[in-house]
Amino acid sequence: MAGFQGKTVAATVLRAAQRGSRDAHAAIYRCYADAVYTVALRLVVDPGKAEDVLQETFIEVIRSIAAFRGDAALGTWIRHIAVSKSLMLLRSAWEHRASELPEPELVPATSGPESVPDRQLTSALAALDAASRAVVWLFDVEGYTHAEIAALTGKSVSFSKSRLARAHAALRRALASGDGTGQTSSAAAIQVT
Amino acid sequence: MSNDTDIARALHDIPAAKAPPGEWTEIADRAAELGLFDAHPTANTRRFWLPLAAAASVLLAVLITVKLTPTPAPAQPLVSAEARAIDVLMRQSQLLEAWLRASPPGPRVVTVGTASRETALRDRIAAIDWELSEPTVEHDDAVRARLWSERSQRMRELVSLRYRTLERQDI
Repeated sequence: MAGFQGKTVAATVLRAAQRGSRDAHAAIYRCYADAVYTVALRLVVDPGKAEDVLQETFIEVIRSIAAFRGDAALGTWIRHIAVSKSLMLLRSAWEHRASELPEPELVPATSGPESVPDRQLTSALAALDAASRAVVWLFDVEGYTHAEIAALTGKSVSFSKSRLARAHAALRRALASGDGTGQTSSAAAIQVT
Repeated sequence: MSNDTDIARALHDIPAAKAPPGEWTEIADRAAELGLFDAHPTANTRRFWLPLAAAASVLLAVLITVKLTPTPAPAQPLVSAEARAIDVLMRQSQLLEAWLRASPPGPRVVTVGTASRETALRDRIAAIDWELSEPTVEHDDAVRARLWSERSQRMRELVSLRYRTLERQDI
């Protein structure tokens, strides 16, 4: 699960957070904030909305952590909250405005030390329709199954599969039209069929 | 190796983004205001000025009214528990909207995060209103109860956001 892998907090920190310790929650935030912001940014694209998801996610973590039983890893639980908040934001946007306005052209925030091919890929990802972008990120990067994606989005497994195929095709087309650097990278190595 | 695998690997290799600085302070302050941390008084107490004090007293009156909303009298026709809950939630939502209309206007300049959060809340409330207007929802008390519950929650968050914005303006 991408940025959440390898991240953990001590059991003592978790217990302190469950008792309401502000410092313990700060430690949890420091551990998972970048991963939460990354998944939010990839799904909702707009940095302002990603910040909202970041805040809403950790408010929910603080609110609900007392009930966290450890059935899954803490990072898995936090990631699920972040994904749910992101999809809720996307759902209100793509259902409410789909028939009124085209999706706005959003310039994705830079993630830091991205190579040119990575920037092309993030731009191509941001240019996908919201549903396809969500499916491809959740499936390819976060490791969700089609059944899990279907449950999260309220859609069917076949919807998830078709959106994934559509997303892959669109990403290949976008990268083929924009790739001219000649640089060697995993993105540049993608062959166009 | 398939092209889809190459795309998946390339997406996986995109560097992670860094969370914007300063977010934890906002989150922690908001959580503290919501009473989500343990009950240790914070070192930073704040003084309330007259416009904010007036808004606070009105908000208190609204919340007390919401809490004291009476249950339906026995003479009224029998209605489901969900229908009664919907009536209470509708009243809460209306009272919170009335407070927003009556509260002092917020500052013209706010942070991007605050503006985005307010927009997101208003968008979500609009989406809920749209769902409530759907004919299939009109006669489904369970769905209406869920939607009105969320609407009331989002309205409380909007009120809280406005209140905190006014509070910062007066400090």
